[in-house]
Amino acid sequence: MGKKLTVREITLFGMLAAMTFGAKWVMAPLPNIEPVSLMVLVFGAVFGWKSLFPVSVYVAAEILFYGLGTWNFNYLYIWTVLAVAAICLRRMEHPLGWAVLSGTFGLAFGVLCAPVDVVIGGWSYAVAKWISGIPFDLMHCAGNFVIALLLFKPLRNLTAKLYRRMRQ
Amino acid sequence: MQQRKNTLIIIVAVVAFLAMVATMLGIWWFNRPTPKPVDADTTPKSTGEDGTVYYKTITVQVIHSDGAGRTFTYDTNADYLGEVLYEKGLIKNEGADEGMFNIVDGEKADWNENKSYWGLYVGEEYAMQGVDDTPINDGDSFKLVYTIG
Repeated sequence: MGKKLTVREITLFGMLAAMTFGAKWVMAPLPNIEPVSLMVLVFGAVFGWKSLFPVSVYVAAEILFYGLGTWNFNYLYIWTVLAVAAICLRRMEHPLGWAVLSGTFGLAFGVLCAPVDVVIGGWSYAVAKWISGIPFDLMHCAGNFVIALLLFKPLRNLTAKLYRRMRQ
Repeated sequence: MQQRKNTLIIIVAVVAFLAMVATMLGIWWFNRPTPKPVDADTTPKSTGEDGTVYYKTITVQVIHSDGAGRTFTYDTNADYLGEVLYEKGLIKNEGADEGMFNIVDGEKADWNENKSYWGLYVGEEYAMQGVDDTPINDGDSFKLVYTIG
């Protein structure tokens, strides 16, 4: 991961995690439409492996705020998967490519949650739950795709610019 | 040359993405729970006072917060559970989000107060969808259980 975090980075990543939490809260009334995927993609593309810090803080905030539940286990890895995908594809410039990545994540959200369901209720339970959740995954996919297509590039450019300025 | 390669990669990615969306839509469409159609060969179950012929009989067991249980039997032709339960007044929405219900057999579950809700079971299995999307067929049994947490 390179150098240690600076005080500014620690502060920045904490703020970004809080902003992600707040943005999700604001969009909570819209079912399966969320800005978290966009923000995790931007973090991964701009900060590289350091993006795991704001992602982890965001997950911790979610668990602290919403309490314990089986979804906690999902959250321990699901956003990390997206962040790692963004880190691996950070050279990609085309907004359509990022929209496809974000949409695919939304589509795969149910499948990514399935391992925990397998442990809880077995394969039949996990498969039935996944299938019944497909309409929500499709909505998640569509929302993620559109949001990323419109906002990824400008948000990435702005974040990268401000980050460079902060580090000077 | 590199730009052409990148464009090709994007095109392939979009096509694969659309194929995944179509596949998932197909999986859901052919596996979604649906009520069995009522046709001329279906045996009527009962006739209502108004002469309506009913082809389905379902039972709904309600388990209240004190553990007390009550069982309700309904004759209906409805396709989905919500239609019956709302029509018969067994479930109501009082201040809950649209599409949800928080009152069953007169008892209210309030998530904000004590994290309580009414859990829906199809037979003995926890339902994967809400009452409005749960199909009903003759002989089906359901449970509404007051649940905390």
